[in-house]
Amino acid sequence: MLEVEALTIRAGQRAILDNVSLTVAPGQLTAVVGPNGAGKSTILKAVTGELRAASGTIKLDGRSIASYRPYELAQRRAVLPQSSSLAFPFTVHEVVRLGTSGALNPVDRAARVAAALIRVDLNGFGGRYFQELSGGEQQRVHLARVLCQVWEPVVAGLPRYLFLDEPTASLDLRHQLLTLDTARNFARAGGGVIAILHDLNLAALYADKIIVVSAGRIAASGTPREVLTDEMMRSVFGVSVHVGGVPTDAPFILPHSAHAA
Amino acid sequence: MTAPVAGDRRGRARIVIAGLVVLLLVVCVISLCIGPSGMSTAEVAGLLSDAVAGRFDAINTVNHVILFDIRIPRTLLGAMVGAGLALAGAMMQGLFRNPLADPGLVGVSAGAALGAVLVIVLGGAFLAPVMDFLGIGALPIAAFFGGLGTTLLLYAIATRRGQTSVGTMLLAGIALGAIAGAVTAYLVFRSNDFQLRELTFWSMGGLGGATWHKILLAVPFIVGVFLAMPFTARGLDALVLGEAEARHLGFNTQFLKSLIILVVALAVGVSVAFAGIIGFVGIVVPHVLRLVIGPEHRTLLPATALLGATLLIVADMVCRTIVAPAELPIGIVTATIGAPFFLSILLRKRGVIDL
Repeated sequence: MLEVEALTIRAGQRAILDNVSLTVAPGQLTAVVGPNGAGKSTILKAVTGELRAASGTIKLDGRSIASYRPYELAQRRAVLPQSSSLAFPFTVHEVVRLGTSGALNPVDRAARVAAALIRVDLNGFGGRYFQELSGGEQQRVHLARVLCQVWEPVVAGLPRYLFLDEPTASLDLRHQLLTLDTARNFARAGGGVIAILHDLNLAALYADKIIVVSAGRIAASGTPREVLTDEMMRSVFGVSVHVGGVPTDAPFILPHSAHAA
Repeated sequence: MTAPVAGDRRGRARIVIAGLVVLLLVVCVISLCIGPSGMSTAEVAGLLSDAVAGRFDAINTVNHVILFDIRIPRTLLGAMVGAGLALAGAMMQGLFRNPLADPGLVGVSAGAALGAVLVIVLGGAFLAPVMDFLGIGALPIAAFFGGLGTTLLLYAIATRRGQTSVGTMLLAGIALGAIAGAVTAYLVFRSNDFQLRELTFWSMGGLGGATWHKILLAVPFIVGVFLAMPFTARGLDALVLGEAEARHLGFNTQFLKSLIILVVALAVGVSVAFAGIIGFVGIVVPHVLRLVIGPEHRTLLPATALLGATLLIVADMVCRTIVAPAELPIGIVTATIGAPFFLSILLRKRGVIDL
């Protein structure tokens, strides 16, 4: 269980997170949604230990995250960044291998890398240069690396966590679905997942719990059905839509019944 | 043996490293056999086998002195300086995530040179007690502190709340290099004829002044650099993804960065003190090897040390034969070999290496 209590983070005088409390339970996919600049990424940076809190506590499985050493934290959770460029000509295999533990023998490591690449639909991409891939492919390579880092969702009775910062941002629809399938399977197997998502339909489709962030505070939290209401859409996102309604004129794509083919 | 996995270049890297070991040994032997004295290869071999067998009949002959007091120390110093400069370049590039980062570029070499010049100019007066105590050892130590001081200052400027901005670091490095250069120029301007002569010889650089004494002084620095390699290799790989990502992968990035900076200052300090400022080794060697064996530091660092040593010994051989009995400053040779090579790689591989 990841527990955040009364977390406040300031940039200068301004509070970019104000008294935020939330929990991320293992076995669930928790989506964080909200308008631009609401503080979603800041929450993620705080729970990964990247940002220091002005006040409040962040606990991972009952222990303050500040008390974990970097390598201990790396064994408990993996973080998928929004984008990450590489200055040197690494192959896809080499990038993904960075996520595998040095404790594995070379044969097992190579097998793990290959399995992770299959899972993100990049089978056979091991020998390609990372820099020559498209943005969406690069993002999936990083997902494979992150999966390698916490390959088993539960180790020694303790859950492990995936922190995903807009994992679907530059992906096509099929790979958006595949990526969130992977995340949900990780949660079903006992791990915990927190994902920042922009697409509310995807959040509604995959999340067990949605946390709505607005202006540095938690505006709503609960199941998709509880959270995604006409009133919330208007007060938080500033759009007047009818949730669950069907647009009149324009063509639309409804991913609720879709599967990755 | 298992079949090679696509994209896994470690097997190839091991073969290349083995080849580089052989190449370095061959180049060392050639370096011992070449020189203006006209000593034949057979004579060199004879002297070496005598020494190995413990026979020292020829100990006072001219050839013995040339081989054991000039060529061997010179070759050893070349190997150490070349390996040190190339490693410093590779580590700095990993730290800055930029294949063009180089100790020369961010002012570390200029800071080290300032340290060395301080000792030369003020060694007779102001720093006399220090000089009496340390002797010639004052030069690498001063250069080390000059390099370390510059790097730490750079770090203080570019780091806020534990985050180092690479852009600020590169730009601040250029400014600090200019300041160190200005102070150095002022010291040169203020120096007397004797100091000027010494400064001129030192600033031309080169391995001509190699002695066993200098070798012994350089060894602890270089051993320190080599010992740090296994502790930094995996962390440097992770740093390539970014600092936050390296921390997420479990590395203590602040410690890692401090260690890299210390090691770079050690390598640059000893190289600048005993061989002057020699450019391009730190950029060209890691760059070429990344194209051949890939950028993973676990294999890149040892390969870089070997090829750096080889390159500098070869450059030195060119220096002392091309205009014999005079000697060309080694910086001319490294730049002449290095710069066009570097440019050609740049043009050919523009797609793969994103500068």
